[in-house]
Amino acid sequence: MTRRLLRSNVSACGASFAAAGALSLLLVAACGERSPAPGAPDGSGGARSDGPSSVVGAAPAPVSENAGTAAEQERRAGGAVAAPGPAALPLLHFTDVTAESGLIASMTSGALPSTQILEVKGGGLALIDFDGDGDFDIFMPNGATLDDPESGPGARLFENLGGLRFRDVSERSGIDLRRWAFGVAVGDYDGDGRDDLYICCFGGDVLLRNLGDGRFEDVTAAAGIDAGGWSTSAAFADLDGDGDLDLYVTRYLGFDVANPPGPTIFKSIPVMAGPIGLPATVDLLFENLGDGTFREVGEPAGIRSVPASYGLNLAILDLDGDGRPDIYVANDSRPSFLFLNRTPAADEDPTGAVAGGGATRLRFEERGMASGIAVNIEGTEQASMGIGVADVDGDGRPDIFTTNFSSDTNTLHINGPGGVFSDRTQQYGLGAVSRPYLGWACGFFDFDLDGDEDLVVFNGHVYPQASRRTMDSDYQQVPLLFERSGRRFARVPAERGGAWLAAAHRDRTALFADLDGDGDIDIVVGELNGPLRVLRNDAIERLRDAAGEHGAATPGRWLIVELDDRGNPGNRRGVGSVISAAPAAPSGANDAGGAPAAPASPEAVQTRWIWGGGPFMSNAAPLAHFGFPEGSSAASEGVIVTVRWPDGGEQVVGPVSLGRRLVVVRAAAAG
Amino acid sequence: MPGPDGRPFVGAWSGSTSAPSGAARSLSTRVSARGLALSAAAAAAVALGGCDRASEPAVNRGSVSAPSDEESARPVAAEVPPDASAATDEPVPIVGSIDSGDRSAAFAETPRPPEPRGSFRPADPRIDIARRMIQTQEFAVAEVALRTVLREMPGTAQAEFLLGVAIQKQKRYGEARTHFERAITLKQSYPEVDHAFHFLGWAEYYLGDMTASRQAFEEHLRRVPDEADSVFGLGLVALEEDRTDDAEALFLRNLDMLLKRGVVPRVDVAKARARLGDVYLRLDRDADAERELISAVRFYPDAYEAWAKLARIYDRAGRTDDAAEARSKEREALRRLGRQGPEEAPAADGRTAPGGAAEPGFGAEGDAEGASSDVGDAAAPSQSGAGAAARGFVGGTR
Repeated sequence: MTRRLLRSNVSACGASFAAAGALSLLLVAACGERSPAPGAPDGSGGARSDGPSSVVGAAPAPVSENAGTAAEQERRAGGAVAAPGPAALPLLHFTDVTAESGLIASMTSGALPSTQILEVKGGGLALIDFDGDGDFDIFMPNGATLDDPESGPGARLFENLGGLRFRDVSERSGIDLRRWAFGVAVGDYDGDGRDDLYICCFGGDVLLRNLGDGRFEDVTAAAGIDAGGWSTSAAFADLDGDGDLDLYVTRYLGFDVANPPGPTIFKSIPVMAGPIGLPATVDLLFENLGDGTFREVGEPAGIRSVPASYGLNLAILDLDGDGRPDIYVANDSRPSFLFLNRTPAADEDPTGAVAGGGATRLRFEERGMASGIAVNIEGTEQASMGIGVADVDGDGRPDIFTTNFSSDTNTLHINGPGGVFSDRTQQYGLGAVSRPYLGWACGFFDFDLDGDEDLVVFNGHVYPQASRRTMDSDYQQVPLLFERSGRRFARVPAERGGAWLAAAHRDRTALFADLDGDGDIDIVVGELNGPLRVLRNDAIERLRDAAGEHGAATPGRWLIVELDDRGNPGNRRGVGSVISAAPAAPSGANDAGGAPAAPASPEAVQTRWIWGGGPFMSNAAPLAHFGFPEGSSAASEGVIVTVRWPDGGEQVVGPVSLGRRLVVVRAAAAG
Repeated sequence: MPGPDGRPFVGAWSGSTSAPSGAARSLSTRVSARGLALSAAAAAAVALGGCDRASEPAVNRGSVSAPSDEESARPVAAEVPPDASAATDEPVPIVGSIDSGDRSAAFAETPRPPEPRGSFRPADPRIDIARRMIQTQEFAVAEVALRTVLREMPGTAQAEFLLGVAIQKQKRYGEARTHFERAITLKQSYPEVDHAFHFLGWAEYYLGDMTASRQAFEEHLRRVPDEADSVFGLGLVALEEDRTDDAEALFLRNLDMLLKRGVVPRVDVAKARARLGDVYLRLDRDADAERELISAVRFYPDAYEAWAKLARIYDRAGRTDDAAEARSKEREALRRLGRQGPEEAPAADGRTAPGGAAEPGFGAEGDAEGASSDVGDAAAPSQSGAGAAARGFVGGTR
């Protein structure tokens, strides 16, 4: 459905530009359902509230000469902001719809039961709009087995057909990747407008260029990528601000398939060895040279100023608030790294003193221990697999959540003033509950559209021998869903959140996105040597049901914001951007005489990050999803959206009405 | 409280406790019939015996001093909790709120031994042997011995209890819990019967069930009111549940109880101080946290987590030199404990489990649980030289 809608939109709409001098606003109707029209806060003409309608970006938005409120628009559009009736079902609920989704694939990673560490990390997944139709398709790199690590069952590519239905298009994609693969990064490395794939492997990473016709081409060697050994995760981001996407690759350890290590002892039980005791390997940093090639610059950039470690995952975003993307590396059993970006701007290095002789400008300073993010509150290193990014304490800074080993706890590092992180896991109720679980992919999202972000963690042990009796932790484990409840997170039981919460698996990776285009965040989960699962978020459906009972129409409790920096094709999706949204001040509070739009109050501001990296060996969707609680003034007054682009330029859009997908096209002179 | 070998512990509960008035007020709504009051005499006795906060030398930036190893290994006579001057006679609860799954009724049905130690004879002499094995940290061997006993004499509560201890010392909390529960529900008399609740409290804590942990600790305190380590456990549960006022009061009370014993291992005082530091860190009262953490490392310089937390405080304050020194002390402490610092290069050091922190803080409160209620000296956390306690003797739970 989504695809059909969007394709018809593409044909129906054209982009329109309006320039007005040096500080011109760039107003672009980007594939919206209809052209901008007067009468709507954002000029969208009161687009449907329930569809994934792309609308308008503006900067700074001239506030609504004929604006009207979002609610007025909804009424004009025949819709209304629905309020669930008293008997409404809880919105924080998912249903496993794998069987009808067509996403039929099983991840291979060694054999069961696992006997070596190479087998237990599982593989990754990726969200990629490979066909450019506006929705996310799914790529599964897939693994192999110890007896032939170069010849596994092969990667799979699934096209999103809309309505949470997928079609396997692997064969015609031309992807013939059978090497044992792990994490995936998605980015348009060559700036041709199409998402490409970087795949971390055991035995040599692979870069696949999207040819635009549904096929991919292996350009690893041509692009200068040389990453042997065992890579685990990767992420694209424009680290030097030159407009193209650089690449960071985490690597794990040296493993010899022909001579695997013998077992060790854990809780009195013989188990597979590692990572401690096995040789750690250094991470790689590839600078994009802008001509379709990369060069590895880890040494001069300072990435290798630290000892090799057991890198598993990463997040690239501005963690210290200086406007430059930093790199957080989650290391297994060793302190995590925080590489603060110290790259001088190009205009700060006019003589080439830093980058003299063609050397890289990229510079990083490792500040993991000093910042407090390297270890937990006890000063102890952790396993650090999954990564979640959210503004948990509402101060506008990105906080970092990591998942860890059983008998340990997951950890929430709150980002405080001065770039110092504090482990506040217990304070937010996320400590003890996680002790029996070994966590992997995780994600913060406002699953139930109530204005705060909830949290889901997928679990599963690495040791087949694990049981509650022997290791205080089962081999197959249930996911943990937490609802944000005041200052704390409260675990949601299966009877409330859905039967999927009672089903134990060996989960590893996950993807989070609005895959059916209904406005709430769905999930795809990848299990070690098990089938993918598609979990449909039922929030919108339940809101609709409740609205139907009360004679109202479609619910408008959400907003999805995507970015389009058309002037910067190398990072068009704006990786590294910060997006905030807040209910607009009541009508009249913002004088229509050209005053900038303003949120109702600073407390109401929600912040999201377009970050590189992902939940675990997967990628975070390059979009910001916002929910708004029932009764929020956002429904009546609209929302002010503020975008801070990766180069620091700021753009304000709104008020925009809820219940839509908003594509903010970068203004010509934003910032 | 006497130890399992009949040897009395030094010091005794005076029937009093203390808490700062604010914290006590926050707790007072849950006061039970077993609520205790601090007597002025007791408070005075404590004050006379120790070096109160004011007497501690001021700590200069970057010059955190610690006692020598010898000094730190010595028991301390007493120390006044930092807010002793504010102590009131307001009651502090022994019994807290009981959530769903309340097991207190079941707990209450268990018998109230112990019998006089001298008259008690184990059902099988091998039980005593196994206990000695636990005391010498031969946990796996003790486990085998006790399993043998239980195969031949199923339903022997004391053997179940000791088996639980032996297993718990090997970090298998779920299995240990099963044996503690059996030891309790068999309703037999043996010297350690009351302390099964204490160990059960730690098992539940490490399994992540704070409600069950709290109930077990509370039941233990109902039976053995002078058990400071169960108060300490309740403090950790309160921290986990973000009841910072309660946590503060409980750690202060724990300190008070320790100090009333007259002679108390430094490590126990350090643990309580460090956890008070946690409370204040949580509350962003960094100066108070610093004071407590410095006190902790003075009492026990191997308290590496306390050094780590001091480094955090200094980082937050921009005191980079102090932070670096604290981290250096942390590494030194870890080395003394036979461990590597988190910033040091990995080596094949035997820590082969993934997530080196997979069992963070073991040997901590839960592992070494319980000074007085332990089954023997070797298992007591107060043995600061005991390598078994190594990583995490102070921390372990965040």
